[in-house]
Amino acid sequence: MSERVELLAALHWNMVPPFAQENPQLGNQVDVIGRCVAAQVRAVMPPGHQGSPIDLMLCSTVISGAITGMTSISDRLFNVIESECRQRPLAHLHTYMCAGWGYALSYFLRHTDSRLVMLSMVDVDVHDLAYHRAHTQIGKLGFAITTLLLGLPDDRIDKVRTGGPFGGSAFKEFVLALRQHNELHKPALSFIPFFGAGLSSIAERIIGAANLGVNRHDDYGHCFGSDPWIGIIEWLQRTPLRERVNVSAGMVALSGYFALCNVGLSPQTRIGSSVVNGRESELESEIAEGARLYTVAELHRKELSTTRMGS
Amino acid sequence: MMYRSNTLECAPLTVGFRAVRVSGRLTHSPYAGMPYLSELRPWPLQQPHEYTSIGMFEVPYEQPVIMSSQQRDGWLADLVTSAIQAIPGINLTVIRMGGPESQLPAALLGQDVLLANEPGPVVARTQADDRDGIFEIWQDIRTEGYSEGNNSLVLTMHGAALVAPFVTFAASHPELSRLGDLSLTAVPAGCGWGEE
Repeated sequence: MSERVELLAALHWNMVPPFAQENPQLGNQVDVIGRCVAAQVRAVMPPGHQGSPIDLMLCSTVISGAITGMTSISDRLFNVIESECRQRPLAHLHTYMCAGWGYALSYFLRHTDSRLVMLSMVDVDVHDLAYHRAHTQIGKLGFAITTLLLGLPDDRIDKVRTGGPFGGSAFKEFVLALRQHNELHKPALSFIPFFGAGLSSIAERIIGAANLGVNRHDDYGHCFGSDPWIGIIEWLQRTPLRERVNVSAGMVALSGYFALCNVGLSPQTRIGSSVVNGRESELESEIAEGARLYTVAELHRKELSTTRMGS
Repeated sequence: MMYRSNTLECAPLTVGFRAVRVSGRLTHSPYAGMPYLSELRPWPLQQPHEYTSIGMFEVPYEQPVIMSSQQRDGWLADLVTSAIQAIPGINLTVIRMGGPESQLPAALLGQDVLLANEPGPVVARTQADDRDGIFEIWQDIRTEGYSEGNNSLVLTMHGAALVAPFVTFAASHPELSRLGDLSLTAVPAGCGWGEE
């Protein structure tokens, strides 16, 4: 039995803005968000799962304050998700911003006996503000919906670390904590936020560029809480794992908090990703199509068998 | 089955209850008379559709803004800290909190605090795994900016051993003891909210 948080499945949709602006009434947009989340939840659920519902929590940064601050709107979102995938979110965490998934994990590890959880990072901009396309400190911003299925270990102590509040952006404290974390856990790689050159060069200097996952900032922009999970998915798509490995997933919220987790990956980790246009018709097509995830072993079967034959 | 009171001082709560709820409305700022930095700032809007979209936040509310978000978070942090000091056995605090505003204080970022859009389901989920000693804070304190709310507070202490200490704590708290529309509800062991 693993003694760390294990990534069992992950599905990422890179959301090309604007999001659902054909019918920009909030209720309609919330319904679309709910159907997107539900489609991802259905995809990451363990194949053939018939048991009791799996704990599900939503985490967001750039989503509208109306969705998490107005009870009627948050209820509407939860109702759509529940009706579409029979899993009602326990809560929506917004105030922690990009570090929300760390606080969600901390809750499940410390205050429940849960062994399987789903976290959905939901970051689309229903208001379609130009302000949300770039940040003075981070640079380009992107949008994403990413859902994870995580296995939690028996031993619940010190499996995720959250920190804050710190002055400034907390980036310095985050990078130093990551270095300390890596000395302890010896990860294969560390996956951190996609930031512009100013901040990312600090991480490269302290952690070592070769020890970091690819920074996709130029392509995607900073996609909020999803970044490290996008990095992990894309690394697994390129890397034929032969055995279980552990990596570091880290996230910083520039309001002064961070989250760090030692994450286990295996050839059986199921992954998927796609670029989804935010036009409502295209979103509905993606939802209707239903994502198919592949294990890392399935994705690299040919390479692995070729290597084995040659070795 | 359920005991109610509109004062905190005369509540005869000792044993036999599994939870207690204090609710009411903040009618004044805990920081009245103290100058503070306004957090009112304009939205960075540029296009006509942005003004239209953000217009959804223009909702009339009867209750006034009585705190900045930084003051609200500081007040909630003090409430959590003082409750934990006064009432041994609080294992988890769950607070209703929507979108990000000011930087959160350390007491709200601890491992035994969760800030969620609605605390109720999180409390129920935690209890389903036989965990108790949960302090549930539902609040809709209006702050500067676009937050909705009526300055309501609903504080629920879950756990039989914590009922009496919580009532004592609330009765001596400078703001909780003076809430408008104050009510106290206790739930006997074996009953749920609303079972009478």
